[in-house]
Amino acid sequence: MRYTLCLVMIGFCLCSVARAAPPQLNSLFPTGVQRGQTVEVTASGSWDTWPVTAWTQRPGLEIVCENDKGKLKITAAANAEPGPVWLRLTNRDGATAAKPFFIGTLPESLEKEPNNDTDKPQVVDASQVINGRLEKRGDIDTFAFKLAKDQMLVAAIEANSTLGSPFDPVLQICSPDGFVLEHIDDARGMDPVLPFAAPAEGTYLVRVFGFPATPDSSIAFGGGDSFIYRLTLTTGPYVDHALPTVLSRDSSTEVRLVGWNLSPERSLVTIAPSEQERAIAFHTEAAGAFVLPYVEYPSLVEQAESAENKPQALPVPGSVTGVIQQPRDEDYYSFTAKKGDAFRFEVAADELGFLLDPTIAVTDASGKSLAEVDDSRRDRDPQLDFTAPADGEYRVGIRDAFGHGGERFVYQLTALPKRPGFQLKVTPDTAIVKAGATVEVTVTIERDKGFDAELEIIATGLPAGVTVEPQKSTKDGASAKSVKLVVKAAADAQSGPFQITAKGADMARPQIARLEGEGTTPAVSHLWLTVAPADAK
Amino acid sequence: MRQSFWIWLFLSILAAPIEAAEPVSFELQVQPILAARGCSIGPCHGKARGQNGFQLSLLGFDSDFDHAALTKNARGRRVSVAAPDTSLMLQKAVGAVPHGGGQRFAVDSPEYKILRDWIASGAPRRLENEPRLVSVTVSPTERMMKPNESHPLVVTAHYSNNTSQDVTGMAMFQSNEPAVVGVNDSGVIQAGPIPGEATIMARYMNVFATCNVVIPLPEPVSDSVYAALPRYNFIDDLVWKKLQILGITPAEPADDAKFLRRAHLDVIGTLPTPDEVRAFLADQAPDKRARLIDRLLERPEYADHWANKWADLLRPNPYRVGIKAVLNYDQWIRDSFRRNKPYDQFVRELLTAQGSTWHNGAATFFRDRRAPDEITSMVSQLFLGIRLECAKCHHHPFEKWGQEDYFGLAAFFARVGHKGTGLSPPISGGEEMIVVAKSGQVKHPLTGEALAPKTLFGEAPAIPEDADPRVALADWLTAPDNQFFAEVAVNRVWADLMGRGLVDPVDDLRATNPPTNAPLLRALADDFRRQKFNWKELIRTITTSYVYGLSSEPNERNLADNRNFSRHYRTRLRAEVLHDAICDVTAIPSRFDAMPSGSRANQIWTHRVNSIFLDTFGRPDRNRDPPCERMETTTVTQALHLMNSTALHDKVTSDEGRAKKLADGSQKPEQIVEELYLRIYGRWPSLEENRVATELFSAAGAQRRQVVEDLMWALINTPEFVFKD
Repeated sequence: MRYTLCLVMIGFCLCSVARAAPPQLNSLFPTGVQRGQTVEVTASGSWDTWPVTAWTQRPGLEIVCENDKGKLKITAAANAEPGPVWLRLTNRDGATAAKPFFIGTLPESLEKEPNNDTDKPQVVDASQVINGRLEKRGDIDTFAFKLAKDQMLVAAIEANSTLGSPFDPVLQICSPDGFVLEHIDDARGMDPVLPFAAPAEGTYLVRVFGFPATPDSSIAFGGGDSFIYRLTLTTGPYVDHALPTVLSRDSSTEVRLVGWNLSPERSLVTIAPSEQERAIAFHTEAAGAFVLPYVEYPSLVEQAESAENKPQALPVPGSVTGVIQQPRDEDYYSFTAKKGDAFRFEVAADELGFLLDPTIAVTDASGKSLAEVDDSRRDRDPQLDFTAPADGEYRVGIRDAFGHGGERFVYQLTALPKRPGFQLKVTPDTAIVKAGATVEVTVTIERDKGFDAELEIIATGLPAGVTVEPQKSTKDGASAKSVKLVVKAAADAQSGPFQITAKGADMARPQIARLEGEGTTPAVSHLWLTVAPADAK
Repeated sequence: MRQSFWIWLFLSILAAPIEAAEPVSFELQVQPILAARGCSIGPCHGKARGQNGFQLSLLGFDSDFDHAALTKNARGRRVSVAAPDTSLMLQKAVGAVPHGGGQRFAVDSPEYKILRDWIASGAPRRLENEPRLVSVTVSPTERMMKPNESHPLVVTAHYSNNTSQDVTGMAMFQSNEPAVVGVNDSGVIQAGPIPGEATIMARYMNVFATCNVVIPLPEPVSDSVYAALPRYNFIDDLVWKKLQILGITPAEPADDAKFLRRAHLDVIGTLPTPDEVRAFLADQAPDKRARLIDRLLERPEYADHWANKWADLLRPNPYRVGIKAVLNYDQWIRDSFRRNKPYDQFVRELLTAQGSTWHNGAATFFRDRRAPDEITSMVSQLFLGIRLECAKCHHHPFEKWGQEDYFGLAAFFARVGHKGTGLSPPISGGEEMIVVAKSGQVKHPLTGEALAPKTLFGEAPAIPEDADPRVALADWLTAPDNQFFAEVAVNRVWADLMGRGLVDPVDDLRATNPPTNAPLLRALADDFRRQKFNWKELIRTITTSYVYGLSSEPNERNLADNRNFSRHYRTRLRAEVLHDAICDVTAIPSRFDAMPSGSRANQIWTHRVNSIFLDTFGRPDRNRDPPCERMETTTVTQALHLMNSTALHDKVTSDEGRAKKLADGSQKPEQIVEELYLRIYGRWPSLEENRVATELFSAAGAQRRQVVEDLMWALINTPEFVFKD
């Protein structure tokens, strides 16, 4: 159904403005830049029209289009916040899907072939981020890094999870004479992260290889143009994640950075409330960063005593971030309810790149189990709907389905009153209109059963010269499920980003539409509107 | 009165025909005839689907089934109470009607009379107050014999009413070494012409007993000879005790060069380098052998060498479970040896594994073996040395295990659950998680009864509610009083290091296949437990014994010994070790698919990595399911491969290789010869060897590089290189 809709929309675009093909961005390489530095970047893809202009989802980057097709010069501001920046390249033919480009605190370098052989590694003489590519089938990239005894090296790969590279990377640390000491396949999704304390002084080898993310029938290591990765190698501080994992919009949040080589004074940051969708937890002296979304309710961190006999109070609505530190640990939270009160509990762990496979259970105050969920459909992160059978205190328990535990066994538990709501979605995430003409954008409203409110669907932040009449979605009729926004471009209208939101009578703030389609990410909620010249074919 | 009736009844079994029909016991008289006359044995009606529509339980372990088969099935034609002599079972047995099994007994035989009387009396299932067969004993249980001597065995059946009777005539006999000690159908054991030992099994129905026979060497050896032998640790004393019983004297100690090469190949799977050989031979310290073992156990090659052996036993086929699961399983095994993980912890982590096969490689065990009964036979064979597979379908013919034992053990795995993506060969690329399910049961295949988890012997710890039953199984397996767990482990390592297991095959521990030195096996197991299941300590204990350092050169009193460790038993190098040795000798490593350059063969993570060399030298087939035990046999193909393989030829003659480098260097011919001997044999050449080899360099038309290559190739093609001595 969604697929059909997508085809219809594409067909619509193609029919209304027949012209050169929209630009297509397959990858950016290198994949990042250090703060305050400039880097030459190759944008692989197809460009009927060059130059292009770049749109970024957050500030921090200056992107200059060079004369050569596919060549960009990207500069990160000295005070830019580290982490991924999603960007689109646009021209008069359209806009590309959004791709991530990283701002980092460490120097960036390029992987250099040949480095396949254990005895001919690429020497890495200081902490840095290596922009690598498994260039062809069978490729192995080997790096040599000198360590003192007990020195902690953090090796982290970003490839499949963030960059969307179509491979499953494997990381090995080998002794100076080439014997494997550590082997790790998956940590954040398919991407490995490995802290390694050197047992003795020496030059250790870091080895990267991978298999196609969709396995084939061979056993060979995979490779190809799109097999790009970022390898952070650092003996300095590294931020893996942050606690809590969400920020309350109401107050400042003290966030604890968790990773390796982080001294206590480097591991606490305070993040102020904001109207932005998300903030980034980082430290200027540490590699790595963690993106936290803002939410409209309190965000707590698990207290030490959230054990079965001393459950921590859980506000509803509210969120708590906890860690299953030890194998077979269980964390408990309490909430009170009146008979008939309905709740929705959501646990996120796998989705956030943590190792926990959460199981959630609700018990009464005596510990009697009332409901338990491990997986929701094929999703490892469960959600549990619960209606209180009587007035009283209840408990929510979180554990790992396999009884495992550790520092990266983090979960984010959200408790909400269960009431019907809706989801707002737009496909595709770009649109094209001729100057002086109109184009329709279809917005889908997925209403939960019992959600009857009237919604106003509005386009916000429109570029100059573009107007859109708000539309109503009512509980009955065709508009209950979808509405068409008519985007009208004046003769002198400009291309640019905009958002689509829905506002109901009793909503504190509007809901922003989620973009759906190939290559979209929750980090980007701005559609791109291309205004083509009126005389375009 | 009643007792005397039974005594009379027993005596009547073998007595002459009696005219009147007397009460006949189905279990105690009829079934023994069916077993003893071969009706209910494996090749005939005892096999799983019977023979020609007529099935009996194997050796009569299931009396109800057999009674029904005779009296109810085939429309009751098999027995005719009204006209007993027309019963099909009698007609067939005497050959009156065509019978694939031929005539089993005659019409005038005691067997015929008993069966006929049983039929005539109404073919009853049981007689009133009938006792049960409880056990069988054989006399004697130990016997020292002289060559060519013979001796009758007596087999006695013992019953639940405390009676017993001689059942020798109805028993079956088998020797595990017929060439040393034979046994005939009447239970007479016959010593052969050569000294040695054998175990004779006597089986009555499905119960058995054993007699161990020893034929020592004729002329006795003075006790002082044994008293004077060195005893480095407990192993030596126990080996000498056994040799003393047999009158065997041990070989001389191996020379230092042999010991060095042997220890290197055994402990880390590599040849010593010429420098290591020179240093070791020059070392005058009396404890240099023990210090060598200490050094080797700290070498990084250790982990890959031993993990490679365990990979054969555990690692499944990637076509079945997917390459990612196999790679991570392989790495879990290797990591365990890198960290010298105690063996009990290794087994516990494996058998209680949970989670994703992509995160916890050990969980792949349960992705591969999915059903409780599939897991059971592998676990009992690997970690107890008990081959239970037979008991899955019928009572084990040489053991006490029945189906209730098999499925009782399987019940520990009843709650192994799977979530995620299951198998989808040949790619099977999905992620699967092993989880402890809330419920699950294993049923007895015949009775359909849900079985509670039950250990094979002893008591398993109680299983708390909601707990993983596998934890209780791991507790029982690794408990100090479970002798099987430690014994099968030390037996494997002993076999690896000494060329033969104390029990052979290494994973078949049973009364009918006794260890050649039971006190030694027990002592090694006890020591392994004392050392907290530390692999390296076990290897150290064995390799620092005096016995380990014996020469393989036989003397006149141990020439025939191939199981009592009076000398070292030579074995062919394992495929990977031999391969890596050739790479080291030629200085040309092989390139393998899906492996970093410079990788050694014993680091390969799946048998799907192609190598004709490894396949030729006995690497298990990629499609074979684990556990795969290797036979380090020698074949003509192997000899031909060493002689003709282009890959090997290319290594020897490579421009990058050692032969060219030696030829290009400034060393004199005799120095090159020395270098080659040190490198390939781990010893200095003899004067004669050096003379012959050096002359090749000065022969007419000789080219230096070619001579070096020829010499290298020739030495590789000798048993001294291919075998561990």
